[in-house]
Amino acid sequence: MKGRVVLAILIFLGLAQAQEVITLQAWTIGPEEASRTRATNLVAAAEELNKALVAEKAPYRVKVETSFETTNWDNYHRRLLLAFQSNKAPDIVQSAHVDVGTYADGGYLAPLDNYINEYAQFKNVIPTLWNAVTYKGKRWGIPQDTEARPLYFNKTLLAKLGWSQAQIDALPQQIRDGKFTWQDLIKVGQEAVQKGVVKPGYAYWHRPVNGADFFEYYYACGGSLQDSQNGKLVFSKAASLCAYQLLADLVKANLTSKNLLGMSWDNWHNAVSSGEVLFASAGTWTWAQWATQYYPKDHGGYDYLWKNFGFALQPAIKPGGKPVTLSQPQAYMIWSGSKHADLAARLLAMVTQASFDEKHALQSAHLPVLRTTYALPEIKSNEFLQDVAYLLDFTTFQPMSPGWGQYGDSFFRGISAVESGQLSPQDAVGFVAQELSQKLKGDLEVQ
Amino acid sequence: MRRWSVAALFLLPGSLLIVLFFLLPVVLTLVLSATNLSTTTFSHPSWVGWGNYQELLQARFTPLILKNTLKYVILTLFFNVGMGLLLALITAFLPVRLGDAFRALWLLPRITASVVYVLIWQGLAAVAPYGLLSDLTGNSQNWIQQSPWAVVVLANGVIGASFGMLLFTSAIRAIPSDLLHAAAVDGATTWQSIYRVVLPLLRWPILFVSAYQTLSLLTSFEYILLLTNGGPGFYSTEVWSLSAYHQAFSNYFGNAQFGLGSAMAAVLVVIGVVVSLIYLRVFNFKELLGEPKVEVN
Amino acid sequence: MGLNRRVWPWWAVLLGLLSLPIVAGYLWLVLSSLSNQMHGLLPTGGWKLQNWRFLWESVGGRPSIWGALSNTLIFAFGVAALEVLISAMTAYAISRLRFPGRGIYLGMILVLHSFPAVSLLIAIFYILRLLGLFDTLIGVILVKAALDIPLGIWVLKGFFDGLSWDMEMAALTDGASRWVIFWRIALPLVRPGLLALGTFALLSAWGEFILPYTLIISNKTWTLSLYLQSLIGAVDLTDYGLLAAVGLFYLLPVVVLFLLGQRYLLDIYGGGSKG
Repeated sequence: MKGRVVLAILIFLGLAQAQEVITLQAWTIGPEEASRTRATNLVAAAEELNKALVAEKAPYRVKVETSFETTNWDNYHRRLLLAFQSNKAPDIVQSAHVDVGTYADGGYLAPLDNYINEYAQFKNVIPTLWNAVTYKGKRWGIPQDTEARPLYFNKTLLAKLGWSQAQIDALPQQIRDGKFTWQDLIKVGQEAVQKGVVKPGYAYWHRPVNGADFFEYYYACGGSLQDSQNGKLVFSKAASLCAYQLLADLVKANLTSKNLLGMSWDNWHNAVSSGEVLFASAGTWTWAQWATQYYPKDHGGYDYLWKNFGFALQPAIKPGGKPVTLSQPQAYMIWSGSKHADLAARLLAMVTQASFDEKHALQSAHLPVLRTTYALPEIKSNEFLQDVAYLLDFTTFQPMSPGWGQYGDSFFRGISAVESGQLSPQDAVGFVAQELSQKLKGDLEVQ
Repeated sequence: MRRWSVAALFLLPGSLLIVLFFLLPVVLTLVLSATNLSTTTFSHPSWVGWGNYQELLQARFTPLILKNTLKYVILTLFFNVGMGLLLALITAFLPVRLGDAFRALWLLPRITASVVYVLIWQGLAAVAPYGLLSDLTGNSQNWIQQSPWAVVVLANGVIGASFGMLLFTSAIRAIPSDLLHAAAVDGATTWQSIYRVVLPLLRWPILFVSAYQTLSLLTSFEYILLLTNGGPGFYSTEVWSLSAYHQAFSNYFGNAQFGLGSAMAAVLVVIGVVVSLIYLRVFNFKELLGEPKVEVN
Repeated sequence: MGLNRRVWPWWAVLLGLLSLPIVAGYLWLVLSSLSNQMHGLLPTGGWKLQNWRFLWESVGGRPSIWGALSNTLIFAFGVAALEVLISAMTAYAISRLRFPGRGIYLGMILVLHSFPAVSLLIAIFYILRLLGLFDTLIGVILVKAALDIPLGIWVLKGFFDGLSWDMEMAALTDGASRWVIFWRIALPLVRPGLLALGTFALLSAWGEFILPYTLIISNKTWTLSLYLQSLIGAVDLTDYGLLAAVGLFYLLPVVVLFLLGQRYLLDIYGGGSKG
């Protein structure tokens, strides 16, 4: 009798254990809807992981609870920060690679090198992307996607300006060769405004809120953001002045509205994608956003986009100069306080597969992170992904440093002051240089 | 002694909450303001003494934010008090039910959740076809972005006007009708009665409303956060309290400055305490205190 | 008021014009929530029930609105109950009992009443974190109640001060304890005050945004204000019909409560709440 009870209890315990479900929390962000695969891929990967666990007769299963932020990065960063600081952070965090510097320095992330060596899947990641998540000699994230940031041009509007089809088709190459520069773009834009092809202030738009895009001008101006010797951030007065001057010129020449910064994203996307704007700097993912969320959605989707839009690098400043783009790979990171870091790492290995990578790339127009993904037929036959691939040869990154947040914010404030006419480019450079040296002190080199 | 322990029992829960969420935070704000606490230094902050305050003094944006704060407080205050007065006076002329209906209408924005209230503004100010303003003027633009200050002041003003309206209304009701009759008998016009009789009697309520609202406007940022978030462009509508919030909680690139934010908050805390103490003086604290009714035996 | 009565229709017209924007605003909300498309205040394209789809399905992976609604109800009623009870106890003590430091205590309440509580948000985050109450509904309830308690004490003290002292005196001589007197005699007598404060607290907590926005980070604990803000702030969402419908859904209970409690309320809003 007693033996049976014990046996029953043992069986019960065994069953209970077999049913143990470990829940992993994962926070992800688009903010654009099209990138929801950053969350759903994790859920799908967990299903595959569970199949593997069944096969191994492991005593537990995994469940992923995801949240997907669709508002903005400020909001997401605030929530993350407070979560980190109050021990309530999710096991898995998806964020921009550049956050690694800040978060690793704060002690919020677990180093992943051991896991990366453990799982074979990670060997397929494009090597340069590992650089983007390496900070102080350790790797803190698993690349999730990457992208480039093209200059979109409206082919229909260019045709209205009198451009021939051949001229329009040649524009990306002209920009790539450094023959069509920002000075040329300004001329075309002014002409478009004068001829009434676009409204004043609608000839060239950059993003309407803070972000990484603005360093494209700085890079095009020959600036460097980090001293590769000592890792200090670098503020080049000459390059900043050149970038600020360019933006001031764009506003002065009526290409860009002085109220562009602060516009809401949906106004921005609808205006650009419906053909009110001649040139716009955005990201590859914008292509998917336009097709699935904005004006083109009800007007032919991708076909409409192909008919009306072309894309190229961000032009060089001067003839013969170097055109640029910028990449901000996203990465999955593991919180240092996670109780299930091993399992989280295994899940990340599971999600780092060509099938998931492909799905995300096709849906969101981001670029894959695995070499194996590029070999897939669907990717090979995807015209957009193939056409933007060369942009990566011209790409740049933001530096990883705990001071980057302040640097990025100050630099952007300088831009907003210049565009709204509150400071001259010279004054803005002085303002940013002063603010940065005050805040970053020894961690900054002003050139 | 036992009597005091009874009092202690009654006071305990309230005091606990006040200590936890008022007094301790005040002290903590002052302490944090002397540290370099931020995202990266969270686990190992160090003392910077007056460093954050020095940074504020030297920062180029400080004068701009101070200017914005003054502009916001003064313009909104004028709207609040002026509109409150106007509403109170006009509704006093109307038949009681109509007056009440108007007052309820003007109270509505105040009880509407801030998010919904701002949604309405965003809707009215949106680009065509949804935006009413764009529709009426035939000029399709986002009006919040186009004239952020007008929107910030009006949106806050419509909320704030109800405060003055209600206070002035009860003050007007308290005016003895003899006074007004006397004025009417003397042949005073409506305008003259208002000017000569009503307004002088409203002097104290107006002073009180102005004093009270100055302080709350100085520290309120919720509607600005939701309407313009301090923009568009370069600190266009960023006021001091919003900036403190931004420093500590909001950063596109993710490095939040708790120490600096606390220093900005501490400035408000000090202003708040000093000004409240002055108000207590002006509005005669002794009178408010009175004697408690305790058992005589 | 004994002013010239003949001119009032003109004043009504003037006031009507001044109030027009408010009416237009709320009208816009109602019409947008029901129609397919709006041109200013003109609904076009027919009615659209789909605006209300959030009632029966998840919008873009967000948690259900009913979860947010119940969180909001718990939050609002929690705050109101706590605020009324604690304010009443404290106000009673100040009004009725002699204790050392009474003057200072009352002075402190008055200062706190007009004190800029939101500027303490950074420090409040730390306190909640210390108490292990960050990102919990109970934590935000405590903070919200605490921040509104000085007003509550101030209002209820007025009510207790105005009460006749005779009944309590009689009970005291009969040997009843203070606690019993408070519950059985004093509280029932200040019922209008409790109702007014309760309604005020409910309304104020119902619409609260900045506290949950800052102190709640997981969407399981979302209140309606966070739910709506997540829709308004979403980069890819331009659906004003949906936004207006959620907004109206959020607004309606408040309007009902306001109409019910208006009688009690006007005193409090005029008596010095934040604004």
